[in-house]
Amino acid sequence: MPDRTASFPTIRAVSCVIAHTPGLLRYGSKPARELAKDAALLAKIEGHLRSFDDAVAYAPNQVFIGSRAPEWLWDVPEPWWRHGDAKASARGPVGQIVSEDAFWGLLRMADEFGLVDIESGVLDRSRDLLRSTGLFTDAELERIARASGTASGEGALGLHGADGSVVGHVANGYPGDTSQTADILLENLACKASGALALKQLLRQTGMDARDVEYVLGCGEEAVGDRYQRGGGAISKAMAEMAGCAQASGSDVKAFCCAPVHALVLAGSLVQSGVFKNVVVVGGGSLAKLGMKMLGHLAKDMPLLEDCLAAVAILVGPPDGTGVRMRLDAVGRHTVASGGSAGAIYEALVAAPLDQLGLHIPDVDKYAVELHNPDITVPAGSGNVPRTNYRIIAGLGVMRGELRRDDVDGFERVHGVPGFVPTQGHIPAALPYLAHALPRLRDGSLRNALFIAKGSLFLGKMTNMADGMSVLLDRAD
Amino acid sequence: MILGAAEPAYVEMMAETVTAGDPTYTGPLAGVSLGLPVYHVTEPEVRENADASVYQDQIGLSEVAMETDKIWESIRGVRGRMPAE
Repeated sequence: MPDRTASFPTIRAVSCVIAHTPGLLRYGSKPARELAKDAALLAKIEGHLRSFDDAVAYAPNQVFIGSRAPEWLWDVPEPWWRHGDAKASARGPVGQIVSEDAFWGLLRMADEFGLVDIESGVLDRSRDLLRSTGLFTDAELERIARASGTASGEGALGLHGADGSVVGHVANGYPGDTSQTADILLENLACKASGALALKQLLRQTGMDARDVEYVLGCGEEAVGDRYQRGGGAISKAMAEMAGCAQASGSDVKAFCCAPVHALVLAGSLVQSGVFKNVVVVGGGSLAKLGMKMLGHLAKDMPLLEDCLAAVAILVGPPDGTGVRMRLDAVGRHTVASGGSAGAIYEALVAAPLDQLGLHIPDVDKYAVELHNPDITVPAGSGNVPRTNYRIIAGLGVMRGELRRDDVDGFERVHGVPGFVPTQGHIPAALPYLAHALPRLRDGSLRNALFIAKGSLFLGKMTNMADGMSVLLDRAD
Repeated sequence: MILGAAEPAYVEMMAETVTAGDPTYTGPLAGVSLGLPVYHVTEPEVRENADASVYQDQIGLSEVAMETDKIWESIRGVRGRMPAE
């Protein structure tokens, strides 16, 4: 039999980008629903928005773009939003943070149908800001032209800066199509624009020719479509087009919040099978999740920290000599029969794949779980998501006789990382840790890492089930 | 009301929400005092009334992972603050 392990795919590169979009926060699902009930809330929202400098200096954002290690956050005093990183920069080793002024231009660049109209003065500034990112060619920047002026028609949605001033409009789609109203199109365009930014960043980091990307798997939240097919899909190919990947096709993977790990495993499978050589997994930002915990933050008189669209892109390819492997022989999956208790879920996602490889729970150096930033979730009463996950993995180790009960408290510090990812739905699902794990796997300071994601399928009301998938990365030696 | 959350602070907040009212003032129970008796699923009052094998199957792992001492202290504190019937 041929040695399958010799052909395991690897992760070639990872990019993580943020667009700081405080003016769009009002169109997050929660803020929009609250504003519909109480328009006076807008002044309160505007009074709690962060500046771009504050968003850049925000310690978890510095970790997200790779400038700091996740473990550094353990030494930053809480609340993190009060203790900005004095050494912060908008550019990091694996990504960058762009301002809303720049994002208006990206939104316009993403728009192929004249849906987005933005004032020309704003667009001129956007073009300059985007030029300074070093990611776009002059020809691409030329596409940031003013639309035909049709965007302010019936059903159009105003676009506002953080100070409330109107900077433009988004038009309704096809009249009478409830899946293409202006607010939905704005969500889709925001996802496309941020995902394409991550793709562009990835291409620059690797120095590869955009035309060498053969396939793009979308793993973000939006399911673009029309009235006959609300989740039609392939926003991935739209992102590929925007990023200049002319030889790429693509499709979207939908599985609620575990879609990113499903997509990573599928990408690896396409590579190992030889169908494609260079496959990119890309997840765009979620506008609907902006301001999701807003009421909790306002009640505590803290800044509205959910003002960032976050996006990731991951290049999966054949073995590249670094020795880092995606272990496709031990993919953890939650099956229909698995059951919904914590025990059943972690048995499927952690115990089963480790058993297959003859590993024990302490043998895995790092576990990447749902890495939601606790600085955002704890004040809003949603708990510390990664910490709960780490305690359960440690508990599983206790039940399997691989850890002592006394080890549970300290497990997070040894085998985990603090949550550092904006609460952008799919984006916190383990994969942003790849940016930190990859260099450590390459230099041998990390032997392996298990990436775990869970999805709440029941939210869609088609089943009561959850879902989950996990995959181990390790070194060939 | 039986709670299952894993974090002591979160359990306390939820317990307060269904007794004195939402302490964060962010949900529909802000200022609404339901005064419900509230227990955590791992407390003996609940556990001893459950089928042992079902309990182990559904809650066993979560219980190992939880800081039950702190959780019980939090929720008993909330119950202690409820007015006597």
